Amino acid sequence: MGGLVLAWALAGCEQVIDLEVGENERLPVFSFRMDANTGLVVGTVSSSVDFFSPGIPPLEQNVTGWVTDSAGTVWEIASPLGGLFSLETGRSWEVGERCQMALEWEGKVYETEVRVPPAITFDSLEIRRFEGFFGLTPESDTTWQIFVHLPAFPEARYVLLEYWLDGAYMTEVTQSFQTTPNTATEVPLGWNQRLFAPGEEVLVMMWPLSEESYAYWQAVGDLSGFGGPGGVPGNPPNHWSAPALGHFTLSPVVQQTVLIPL
Amino acid sequence: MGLGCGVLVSWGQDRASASGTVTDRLTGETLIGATVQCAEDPARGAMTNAYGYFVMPDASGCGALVVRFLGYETFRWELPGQPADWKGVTIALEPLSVVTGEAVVAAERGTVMEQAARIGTLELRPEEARAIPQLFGERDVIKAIQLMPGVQATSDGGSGFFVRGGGADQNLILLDEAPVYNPSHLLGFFSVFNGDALHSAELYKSGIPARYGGRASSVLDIRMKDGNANKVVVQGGIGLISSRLTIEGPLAGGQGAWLISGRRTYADLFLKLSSDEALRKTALYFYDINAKANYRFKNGRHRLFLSFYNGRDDFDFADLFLLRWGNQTATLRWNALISDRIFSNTSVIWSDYRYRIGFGIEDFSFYRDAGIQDGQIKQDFTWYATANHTLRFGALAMRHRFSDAVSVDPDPLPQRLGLESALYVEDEWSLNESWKMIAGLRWSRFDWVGGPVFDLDAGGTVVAQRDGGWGAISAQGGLEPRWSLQGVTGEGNGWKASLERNRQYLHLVSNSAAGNPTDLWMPVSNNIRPLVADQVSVGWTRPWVEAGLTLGLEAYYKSMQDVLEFRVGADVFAPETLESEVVSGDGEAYGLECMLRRQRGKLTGWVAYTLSRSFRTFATVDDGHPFPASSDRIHDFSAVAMWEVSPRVSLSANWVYHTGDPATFPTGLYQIDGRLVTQYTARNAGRFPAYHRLDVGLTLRSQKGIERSGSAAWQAFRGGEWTFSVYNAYGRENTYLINFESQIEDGNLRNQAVSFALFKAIPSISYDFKF
Repeated sequence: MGGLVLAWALAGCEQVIDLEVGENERLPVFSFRMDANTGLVVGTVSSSVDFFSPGIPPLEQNVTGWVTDSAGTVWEIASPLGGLFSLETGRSWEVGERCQMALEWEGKVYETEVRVPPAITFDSLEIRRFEGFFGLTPESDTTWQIFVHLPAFPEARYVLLEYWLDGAYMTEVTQSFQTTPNTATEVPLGWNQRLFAPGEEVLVMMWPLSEESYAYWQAVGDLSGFGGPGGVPGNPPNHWSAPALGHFTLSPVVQQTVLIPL
Repeated sequence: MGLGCGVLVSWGQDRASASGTVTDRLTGETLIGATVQCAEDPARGAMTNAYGYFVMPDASGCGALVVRFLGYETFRWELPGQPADWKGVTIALEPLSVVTGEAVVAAERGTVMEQAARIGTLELRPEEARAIPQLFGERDVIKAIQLMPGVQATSDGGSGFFVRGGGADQNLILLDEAPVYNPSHLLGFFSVFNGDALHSAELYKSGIPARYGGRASSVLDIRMKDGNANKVVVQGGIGLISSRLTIEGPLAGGQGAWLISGRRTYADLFLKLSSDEALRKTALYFYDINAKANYRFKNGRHRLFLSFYNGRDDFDFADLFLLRWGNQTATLRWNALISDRIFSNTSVIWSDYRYRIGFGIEDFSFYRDAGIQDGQIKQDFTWYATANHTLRFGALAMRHRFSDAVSVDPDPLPQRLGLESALYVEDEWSLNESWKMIAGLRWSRFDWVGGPVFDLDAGGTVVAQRDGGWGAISAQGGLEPRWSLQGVTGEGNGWKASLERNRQYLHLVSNSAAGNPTDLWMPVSNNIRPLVADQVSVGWTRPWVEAGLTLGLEAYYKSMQDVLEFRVGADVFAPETLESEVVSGDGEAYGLECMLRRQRGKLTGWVAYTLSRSFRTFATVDDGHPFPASSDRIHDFSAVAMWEVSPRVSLSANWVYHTGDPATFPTGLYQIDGRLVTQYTARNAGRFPAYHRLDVGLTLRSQKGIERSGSAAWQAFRGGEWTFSVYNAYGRENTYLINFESQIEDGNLRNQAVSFALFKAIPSISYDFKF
């Protein structure tokens, strides 16, 4: 009897409710990246949509923008091609060099300034047969992991790892992390749940990050479904001069291709 | 040491003083907070301390002393001719069975005024908690306290509570002086305090005496019964979820007493009958045991108490998952009258909280074992120096051991050790007949004694780890001034004010407002600063003794520095150190509390309303703008009524309402490089729906003397009482959590908020007996 009461009491009940959250504040989403090695800038501009009746977030075309270096040289961001903005500054950017970006959207200018973080190179990319977790044997012996090896640095470094699989950009995991000072780093690409099959071609891209950019990509990882305690929702840090979403990531990118053996 | 005691003894001798202990005549239990007044000069008085002891420093000129305690007949003690006979007496008060009449009104006047004048203090007797209908029919003192102004339950049916905008970890919960780190059974639906074993509960929200420390917001001081010194008594109760049994009796011919009390749930016993093997292997229960013994030495000047508590929760689902936790406390206390005016209490205290959480898959298993163990020695003195000054002073030293081990870690870190110490002094100064001031000063510090120390860079990354012996980390500590003033003017208007500072050296890091058994206590370190809270409060009280009513108003403002929260993206399960996963910020809380209470007559209870706000500010959250804390509930109302319809029938009901909990809700969606990301409101800018609930109860007592047959015990058993209650009587589906679900409507994607409620109406029935 007691068990029945307890079970009934804890069975709970669900109902759809209306929340008083007010109107969604429609914000612009500026998502830009710049490779400090080549000076190439690419990005998109869109806006957020209502959570409860979402449509497809629109890619904005009617946006103008500029990039400025510390010497005052200005480059205008070209008109979007299929929604993708791009810009060739035509030169490499030094570690610590400042870069300002300004974007005008719906009559309002949004500005930010970032600096080139220290460069990092791969020690190696290691292909290793997946051996299972905690002694548990994997179901298949034809799965592989890719381990990214980074050298030791005297201070913490911040990294965003991404990869393209057979030409397709993979977004299921946002893999950002910081290194431990004076310790070499070994990280499985895509964390532990990403296994690769024989014959797959993997383009690994590493974006060394500033601490500010690292905080942003960590938050994006939490909010897009992976990582974190799952207990503290919130918007990623905003580094634009007015309320906005998205980020301008400036990084000396390195990349390397790995072919999983047959 | 000997010289010191000698000095104390010489200070404490005075032939005109009167002293003794006030007890319940039927049980021999000491009465805490009983007033003793000179019959000829009511301005001269004293109050019994936590051990029922009082000293009236100057009883000269008094022909008699009048002793009063709420719910007891007034006792008039005619002083013998020789002052030497005024000392060390035991005054036994007769409990009132009928609580009406002018005599009682007169008896209660002084007591009510004295109690009402204490700022920020709530007293609750277990018999009041027993009469309030509660979840699963339990008589839970914490659930009753949650109905008081300024106190809020952390969650529906939970045992955690917020006090004046502070976090649930900012409450020092003491059971016979031993800290209880997790007051919850069965995921919070029961508290660890078995009402049958309790003597009193007192909550300090402000005006916290200097002898207490270590938490920023409140002290809940719960005392176990001493045991019946006159006869063996057996009482218990049988409920749908749990049953309990308490036996108490005299020790050494009434020189002392003992008590043992146990409680256990038995839902899991039914699972053993299942044909499903997984269910047969499933455990879901808790139990707890309280035990206590005391002995008064024949010279009447010394008394020993030994208290023990052991509780355990076990939730094992087959071999797949387990969660176990439990508190264990033990307290050895020695009361000594060093002289007629100096009362000493020496305590040796042990407290142990630990939990295990584990998962199993086939041959693989994973466990995490964590907890906190305390060993403490404490010395308190009360010196009834003059008729106008009572000095309290003392010291404590408490060693904390923090354990946290993961079974798959081949190289676990050594345990961390800390030493918390304090000295305090406090003067209770009767300024005149109407006004009293209490000025205290506490000095406390926390030393790191052992375990690993982590050095972090500005970004929170571990850059070095070193052994942390004594002195490895600079001690943290400081002064904690406490001051309060109380007085009476005019037609019994009581006025009160207090200022205080509290330091907290242990933080509970949790990623839920309600708290989990697996939350970790973390000490201050080179990276974590103590939480410091400053509070100012003022109040007014007006009793109408003839009507048995007391109206009270209190306002407060509290500021908090170095409150901790997990940073966004924290690794809470297996970080190198939790210190790198938290951020610190500030908080402030303010509010107005109102309570109308009736403690006498056939209809008793209270109506309480609190208007309050509580905010936090973290540099890394919302660009440093203040946001509502999890404990921010703007309106909080409760009404509790207990009606003695007849000696055999009583009805009770309570209704609670509070503003919904603050929460961060999604408001939009957007894309980042192909990733769909949710847009949120500012931190805690949204609200859950408002919470409200009605509970009702009916108690039927068998009339003794009818249908008598069988043994005396059987007769008594049949003379027990039945309690029927319904928690959440009108079945309000109060939101416990909200899930956001997607569905396609007319080809379009729609997201909707789905509220999950823990309870609808929960009926319960229990049978209590006593013989």
